Amino acid sequence: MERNVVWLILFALFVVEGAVLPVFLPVIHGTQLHIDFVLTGVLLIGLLYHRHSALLYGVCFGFMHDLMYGQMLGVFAFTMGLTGYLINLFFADKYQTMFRDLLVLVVGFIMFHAIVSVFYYVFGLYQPNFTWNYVFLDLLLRVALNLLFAAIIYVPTKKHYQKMQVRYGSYFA
Amino acid sequence: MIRWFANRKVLIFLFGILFFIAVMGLTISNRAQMTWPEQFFKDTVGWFQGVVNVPARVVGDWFGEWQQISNVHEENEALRKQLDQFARNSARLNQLEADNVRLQRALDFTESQRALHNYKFHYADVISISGNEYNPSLLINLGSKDGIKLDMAVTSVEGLVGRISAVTQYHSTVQLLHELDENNRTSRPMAATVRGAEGKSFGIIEEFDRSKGLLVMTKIDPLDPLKKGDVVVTSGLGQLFPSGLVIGTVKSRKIGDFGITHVAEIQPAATLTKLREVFVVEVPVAESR
Repeated sequence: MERNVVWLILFALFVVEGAVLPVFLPVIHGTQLHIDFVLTGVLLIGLLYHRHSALLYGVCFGFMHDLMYGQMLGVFAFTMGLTGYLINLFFADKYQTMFRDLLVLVVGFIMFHAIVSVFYYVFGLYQPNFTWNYVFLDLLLRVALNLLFAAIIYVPTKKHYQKMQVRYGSYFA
Repeated sequence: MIRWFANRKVLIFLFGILFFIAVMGLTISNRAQMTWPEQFFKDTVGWFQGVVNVPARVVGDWFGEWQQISNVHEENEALRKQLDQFARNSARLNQLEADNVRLQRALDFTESQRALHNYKFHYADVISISGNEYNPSLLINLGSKDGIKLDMAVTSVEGLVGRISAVTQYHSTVQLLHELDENNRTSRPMAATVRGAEGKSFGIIEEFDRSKGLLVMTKIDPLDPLKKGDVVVTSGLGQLFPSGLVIGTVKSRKIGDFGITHVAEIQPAATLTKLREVFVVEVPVAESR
């Protein structure tokens, strides 16, 4: 049960992200603010636990996002899995503090959105525009809100995975 | 750094990217129907989203009401004016409608021709949104069981919002106007005209300018009477959308890139954010499309 609770929480976050969040978050200059709940969760799992877990969760929940909203399947699955994996590979070590991890998450968020927009651009579904409106509102505000959410769930996530590690050892490796 | 050039990992990564790009390429086209596992999954998650969406709306509305309470007076004034106009217009409308029916009878219109503009508007709740600008889409709680089909037009109270891009049994996905893009394989350009000058004005809307938030109408004849402030509606000539749905108002008009035709910028009538409920437009007779 304790192992599977993360699946349930991520699924709940996925549902809430699409159905509840847009009702409450405001629109600024025609842009609906949004928080990437699931992406934040997956990246934190990568940072605080194991890259194989992050890969698995990232591929599964990314694929769910593709199925629900995407114009093609596989973009979010690939990118979320890859980002979760790489963030562990590059940044997970013994000297993690909360402040440093939040900074690392910024890299993760920007990398995720960059790769997704490259895929959508290559397949001719999206023209990126580097106007202030997009770069500031859609990307920076999104990253800021994601960070806020990450700061809230950071400590509980870390505690959960410390407990898991004591009890079961590493999950996949 | 960790031995990340270890052969096996790079190989797996390469196969992964190949696999996913193949999947993307195979699923990108507008498939007429989704496979049943996809439909089942979408309906299941959609059901969950519908369940949590309802209380969220109630709470959201409650907060919204408190914000709006300050401008109730002005709103009341404006609505009263509109009501006056509405009463006048409806009297005129009744008369014109009766005239229209009488003339159609006199000209021996067939049953399907007469039903052509009798659209059915299916009310639908928006239960979730995608939340990114690569594929701006909504999920609504009507599906193929309710008679929703691919490529039907979707409007809000204010005007055209988008089209149905995927249908499952109990839900369907609405692709918003943002997706309009001349380089995009899956976007559907629409034929447009000006309300009140349906026979004289014509243009194609095939691009949404994201940086300005305006639609771009192209291929307008230089002699076209279209001017700033005109209300642009779908013309129905594209055979995709029914005619007469409000798209927006003309904001500016200038000579196009090649100097042969004109280009106009159009302010969409509908707000594409914070959509709560939409209407799916069904054209009653199949032969008419």
